[in-house]
Amino acid sequence: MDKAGWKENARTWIGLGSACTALLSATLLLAFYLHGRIVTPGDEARVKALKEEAKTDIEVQKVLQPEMDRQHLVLVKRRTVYDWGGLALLVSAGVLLIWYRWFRPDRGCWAAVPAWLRAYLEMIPDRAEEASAKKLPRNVEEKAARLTPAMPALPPLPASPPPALDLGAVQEILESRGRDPEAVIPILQAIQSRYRYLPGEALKKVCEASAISPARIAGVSTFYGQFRHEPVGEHVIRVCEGTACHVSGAVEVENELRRCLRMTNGSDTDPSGRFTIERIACVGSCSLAPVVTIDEEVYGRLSALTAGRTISDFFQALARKKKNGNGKRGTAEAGLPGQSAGARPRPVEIRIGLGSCGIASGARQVQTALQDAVVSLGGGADVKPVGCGGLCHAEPLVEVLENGSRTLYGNVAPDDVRKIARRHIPPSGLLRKVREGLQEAHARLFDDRAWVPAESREVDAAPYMNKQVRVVLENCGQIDPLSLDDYRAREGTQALEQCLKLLSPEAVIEKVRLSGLRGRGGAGFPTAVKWNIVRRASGDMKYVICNGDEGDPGAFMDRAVMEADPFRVVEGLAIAAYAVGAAEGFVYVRREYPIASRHMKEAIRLAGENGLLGERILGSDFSFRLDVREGAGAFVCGEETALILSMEGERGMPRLRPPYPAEAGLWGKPTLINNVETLACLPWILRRGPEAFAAMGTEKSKGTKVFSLVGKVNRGGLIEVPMGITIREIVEDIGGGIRDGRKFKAVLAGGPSGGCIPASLADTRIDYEELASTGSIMGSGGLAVLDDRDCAVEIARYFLHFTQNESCGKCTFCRIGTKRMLEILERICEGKGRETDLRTLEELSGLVKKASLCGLGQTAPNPVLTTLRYFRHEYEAHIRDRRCPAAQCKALIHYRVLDNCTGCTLCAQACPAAAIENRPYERHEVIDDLCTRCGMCVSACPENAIEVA
Amino acid sequence: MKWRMTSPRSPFLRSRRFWLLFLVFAALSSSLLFAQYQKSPPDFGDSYSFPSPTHPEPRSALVRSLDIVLLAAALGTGTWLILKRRSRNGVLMLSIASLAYFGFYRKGCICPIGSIQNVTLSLVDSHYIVSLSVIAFFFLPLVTALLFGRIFCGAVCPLGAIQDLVLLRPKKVPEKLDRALSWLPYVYLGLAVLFAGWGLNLALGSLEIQVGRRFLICEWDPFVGIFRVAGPFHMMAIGAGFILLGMFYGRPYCRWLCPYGGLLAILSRFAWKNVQITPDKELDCGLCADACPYGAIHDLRADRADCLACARCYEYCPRELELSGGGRADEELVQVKP
Repeated sequence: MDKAGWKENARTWIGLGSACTALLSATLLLAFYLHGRIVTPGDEARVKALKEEAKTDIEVQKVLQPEMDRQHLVLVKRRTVYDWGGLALLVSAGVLLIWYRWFRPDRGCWAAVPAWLRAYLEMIPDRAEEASAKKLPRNVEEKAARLTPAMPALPPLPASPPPALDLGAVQEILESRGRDPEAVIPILQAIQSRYRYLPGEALKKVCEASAISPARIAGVSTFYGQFRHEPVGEHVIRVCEGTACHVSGAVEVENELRRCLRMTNGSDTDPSGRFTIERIACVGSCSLAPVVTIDEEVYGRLSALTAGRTISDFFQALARKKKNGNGKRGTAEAGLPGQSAGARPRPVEIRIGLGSCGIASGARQVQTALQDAVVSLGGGADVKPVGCGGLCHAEPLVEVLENGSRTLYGNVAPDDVRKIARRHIPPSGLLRKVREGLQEAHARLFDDRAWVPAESREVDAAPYMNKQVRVVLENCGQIDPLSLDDYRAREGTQALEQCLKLLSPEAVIEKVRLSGLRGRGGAGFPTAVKWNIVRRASGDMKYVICNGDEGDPGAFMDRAVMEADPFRVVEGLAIAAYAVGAAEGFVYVRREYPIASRHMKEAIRLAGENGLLGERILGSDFSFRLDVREGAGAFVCGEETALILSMEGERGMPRLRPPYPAEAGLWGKPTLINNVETLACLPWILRRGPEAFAAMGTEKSKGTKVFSLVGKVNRGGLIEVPMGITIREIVEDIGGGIRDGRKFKAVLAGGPSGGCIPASLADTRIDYEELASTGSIMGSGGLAVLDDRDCAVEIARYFLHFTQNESCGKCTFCRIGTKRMLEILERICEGKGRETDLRTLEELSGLVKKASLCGLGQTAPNPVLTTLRYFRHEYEAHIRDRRCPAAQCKALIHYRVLDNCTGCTLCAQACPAAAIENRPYERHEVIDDLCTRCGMCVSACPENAIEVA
Repeated sequence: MKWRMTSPRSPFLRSRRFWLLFLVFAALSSSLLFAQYQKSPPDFGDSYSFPSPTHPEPRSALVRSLDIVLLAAALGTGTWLILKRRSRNGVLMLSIASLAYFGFYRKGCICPIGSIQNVTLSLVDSHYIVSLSVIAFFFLPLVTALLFGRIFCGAVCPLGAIQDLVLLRPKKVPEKLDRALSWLPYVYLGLAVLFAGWGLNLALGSLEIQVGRRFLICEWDPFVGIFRVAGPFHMMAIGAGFILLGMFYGRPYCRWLCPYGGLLAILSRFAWKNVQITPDKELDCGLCADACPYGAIHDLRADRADCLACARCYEYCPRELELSGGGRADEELVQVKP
């Protein structure tokens, strides 16, 4: 804008001229107006006096006439000034207005205006724009602020020298957990929860005061992922690395969190010592991916843009807790599972899903709002906390049961709750009716949102449920997980009673055999066969263990069952124990599942109190004790021999079989290990008869299977389908097809041990053998759906990274082979692959498969082999063309904004790296150097105007 | 970020609009001059008095019915322009025409805002007869609001139009303040109804307040004085104040004082149709909220009660521009550095 053309100059002078004219005429008019106001009263009074005098005095009349003439003249003059001044003011104001609006300063007409005037009028958009080049526009800022409230300043913790550790607690822990070597894991867990890490002094003290050797402690504490030897921040942020989270951008979330907390690359704790970031294999809230937990709070459906918000949300929750703790304690406690028992039933029952997924999506707040609403309506309803019902994509879920009819609401926000409550609960009493009516009217008058009917939150579960058959999940989402009455009301405990009173152990095993039940943990070993082995094994003491170490990233059905229906697992265990003749049992739960662990413990306690566990159960001769053991964070402990070693307080390394645990398991005794889902099938089988179970499914695979359907489907969640259903039916009918109308590429079955089944094989039926024929396995039941934006090589790399990380290191091929394979895959993803790499990969896969002891190593190459088998062209594109066909591998892609950009700024708002300048109404641009390739802009763009290549 | 008062449309449209506006202003100014001389010249002396804004000279029946027809036509056109045609230009033209006729030509006196008082008085006092045109002016905009929102405010009301035109550098008002201030119209409405129907007779101890019936809204109307280029000092001062305020805060009178606006706000909550910012799908980009000078976009949706139907947001919606083909054509908009 240095040189102004004549046009610009003319515009400038038009503007300045009209401004001056307007100012002058306005001043003139004001002066005249004021002059008239000030002078006229005097004149008026004088004329009045003269008129009065003129009535009597003829002389005065002579004076009056010229005076009046003079004043008339003044008036006429003033009128003229008014008229022309007014005209000038109006015209110049009009010109000024038009000038301002249509020849804006930035269009070059301000070139001639003195700089000070421009600065004074704040009309230098260029400079202002330069300053805010990286900033969002005002309202957009507001919006962003709503999404990511300002990070609370984190003052560094007082830099006092670390306080001397109070080692008295160690003694207490040893007292309560025992001093035997097998108690080492519980002891270490207790120490860690006391000191938040494992201080060397404390460990020394443990060695001194017990029979545990330092080597044992070192071995165990370095094996399990849970234990830390470094001091930890005040709060621990755990970023889930599960499959679903990975494909939904967990890496970007972690990067954003690290950026927010100003963490440097090396350390895992922020400079203020407040937060430590850890990676966790899987939280089991896969349908809310990506998920992050901070201490006990779970935050789901994050993105790089909203990740920072979790920290301020967490602080708010912390403040709320503190406030509740000081003030009215118990509001947060009220309505926890197990408390609705015994209450007088009311006509309306409102169920709220309080599974992990529900809580992660804010169900607690909804629950509180719901209780408040019900109370203010006169308490005409029961609010019942239930477990996960499976529709995780629509959490938080509220279901209202009224006169036998059900209404399901999904994605409920605390604001919607009142509307829902009002729809179903009539306010009791005139006063409440009037008050509610007034409140409703008030809300409707002042808020458009109050007009949105409660119906808009209604969810039609039918398309999701139609093809499902609920056996294991029959109670999930229907009962209060910790209410034995609820469980009994749905025919619970009948199976156990029937066993104890009518059936011999052999008859029970026979029924299970007839049902054709196979182990649901992955391998599909016939359950009845396993039971028979344990039953026939000699030994005074036998154990049953429920394997709840659901380590597969992307699978969460065991967690859901333990959370939502723990009595079912207890009953199943008791039946199994009765059948094989065991007197003691354990539930081994992953440490990542705190709610499941709590519910199991509570259910065991309640069952014991009600005579379902303990001595002489239900009046029979059968006695059975049950306890919960928590894992310490090692994927390999899902393998049965490793699990047993872990329970014995050793490093969880699988050992050679035989002897099978069924013959020599826990402490060398015959041990039955069954998966949660297997045990949860038992009550149904015994109640409905094995024939009913066997009627479902295929020839070799009977019954139903629970899957956690996650990834790029529209409706993800927990599903239970009869065996024999095709993958296409699951993805398209139950899952509702692929999100955003993308193309279905493949499903990943069985987590890191499984493989991918391409869309071309989507008609494969769910059946142990048929799945195995594709190179995949049934696995524990994770089904992650991929679309055409997921890169097969990258997925293989991800899984190998996982198994490589979790390999216990016992077998050389698993330990080193997977490492080499991972290196090759990483190389390919970075575009540095070599022609020979594919052959080497295949070779190594075969070796690792053959030379590994346990399932982890034997199946680790599956993802690589299956992707190589079905998506070899993608590998070749990476190696030969240095190109990623799915546009995922960061080293090989660039983002570019296309011509159809409308300038809506959404991409700039979404970009966490500020790599897109915010330019409303202009075509945006991705600054390649700043771009982290997180893909946020692509998902934000409503016009599909961002090209990735 | 600079405030884009101009729409990002093609230069051709812009220039045409410029000339149209210029013509309208010129015509307006001359009509003002013309209106000046229609008045009997003021007689200085004891016969002189400023014309009372509350009691304009009566009109012939024909002109009164013409007013009704014009109002109805303006409301209809406004509805079409705002909801169907989605044209900010059209709305602007209509409101300028309305300003010229109802404002400057009719001197702001046959207006729905004041008609509240006539209607109140006719209900209270059986001797007071209210004309059909007043009743029509009272009810037509209300019925329109019930169906389509505050079309009257956006396209027809001359008081709104004059404020809309002087809006130069809109600033945002903190939402809480905005909320609090939006209660004032109802206070004002209550006072206006009270004074129009009954007046105020209060005796509080020694303090006695006795005010007869009076038309408060008319006496304190900020813009009637401007329409007439004459009026008592307080009216002119308030008018100037509102104009000044209105340069920075969009339509202060409409949002925070107008009693009729309060009525329209309530009724437009029930509106059958209302302003839909984007033509098809919601982008949620926030540019419309940035553009709305009236703070009427809450949670990125037009609030039915606060929206003054000025149609500005349409012009600021990238989606609308894309669909109308306006966005891409403007050479000033797409300048990507090489």
